[in-house]
Amino acid sequence: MHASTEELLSLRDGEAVAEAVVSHVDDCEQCQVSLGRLSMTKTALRGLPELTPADDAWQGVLARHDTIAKPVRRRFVPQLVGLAASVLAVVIVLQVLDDPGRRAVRGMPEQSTADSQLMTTTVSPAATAQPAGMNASAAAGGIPLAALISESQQLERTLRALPRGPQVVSGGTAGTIGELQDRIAMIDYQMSMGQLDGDDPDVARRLWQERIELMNSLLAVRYAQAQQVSF
Amino acid sequence: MASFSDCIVEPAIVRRASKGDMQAHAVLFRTFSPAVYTLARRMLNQPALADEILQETFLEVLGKISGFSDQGPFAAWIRRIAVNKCLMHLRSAWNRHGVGLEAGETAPGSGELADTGRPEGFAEQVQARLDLSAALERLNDTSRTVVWLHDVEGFTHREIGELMGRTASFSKSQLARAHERLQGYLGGPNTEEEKTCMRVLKSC
Repeated sequence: MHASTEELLSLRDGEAVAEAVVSHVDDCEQCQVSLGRLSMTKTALRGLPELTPADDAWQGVLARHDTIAKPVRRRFVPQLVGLAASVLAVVIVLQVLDDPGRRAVRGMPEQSTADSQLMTTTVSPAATAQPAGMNASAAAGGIPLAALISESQQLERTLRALPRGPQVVSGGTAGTIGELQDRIAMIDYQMSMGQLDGDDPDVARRLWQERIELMNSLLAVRYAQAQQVSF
Repeated sequence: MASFSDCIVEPAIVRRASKGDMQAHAVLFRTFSPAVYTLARRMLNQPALADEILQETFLEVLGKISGFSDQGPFAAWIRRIAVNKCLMHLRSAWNRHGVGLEAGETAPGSGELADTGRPEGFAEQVQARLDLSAALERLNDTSRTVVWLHDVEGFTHREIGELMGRTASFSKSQLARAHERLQGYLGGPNTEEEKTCMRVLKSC
């Protein structure tokens, strides 16, 4: 009778096996073949390729670690962000309604200091909602408007997923981030104007495209910043 | 292969990490995350769960490293945490679904080996079935866990029995059954030499 798989495995792993089994396997080529296959399988299992986690796995650990370490503080962050966004939206609407010369804004230069001061955040509700009356087909001859909006929203999600910035940053980095945020806020402002006025699709498409470029730049700076903090 | 025994970390890094140095934490993660993730993927067979186990393992490492002393190798400590996390998950799954330890293997053609209906995709999947990795995935949770812990991670049957709340004999018999099934999934003897041996020695 042949050796059982359990006995062959014990032989393979150098564990105690009955003398009769050892003698049988010594004389039985079939059992030797089976033993060889078990050894080969073990070697092959050990040689299976390494599986690598997602690139942002460490960020995930840090985020959860932060949540556990500072539960009270973190719990209020999303609410504060939401509150800030709501306040900003109200300010924008009031400003638009109160300003009789608002139509001139659309023609102003991108980096107006006065208007930059008005907008201090990168994420405006007006920027994430599709403007009224504008749909994917509005962008004839170019990238569909819906695709641009979707890309912009994806960039915002990616940006939000990055870990918080360090407490101390260089003046240059802070300046770059501030400028990018101001320019994005300006575009958001222009788009909110367009939304109220029923702006034409080409202008909307240009603004969304510009916003995506700025978001990409901001993401690159913030990502580099996060890398310095994490590793 | 990402094995815990291949993960080498300087004691100074461990000391820094135990004092809360975040850069040292990041170094530990980079060093051990492939091994932890591979272990979890092989044991649990689901990428999303492996991600979860990876996070939970390192959360525990970060939370408890200040209490880690040199009572044993650091790699073995992390490995034990990861294995326990995986087993906890398997136990909870067994309890939740009422599936016993003796549950059968994944049926051929199920899961990641499903027929997509595309000829080229199906051909690739048929090829994958011949692969040891695919064969391993078809084993049930218990068999796959025992095979991986014993043959790859080097746990003894006694250790596996303790980890799983069973005996060393249980681990031995599971390993034998698993190998028999693996051989079945991988096909019979492949080489001419092996086939000849099998033909000649049938009456052995």
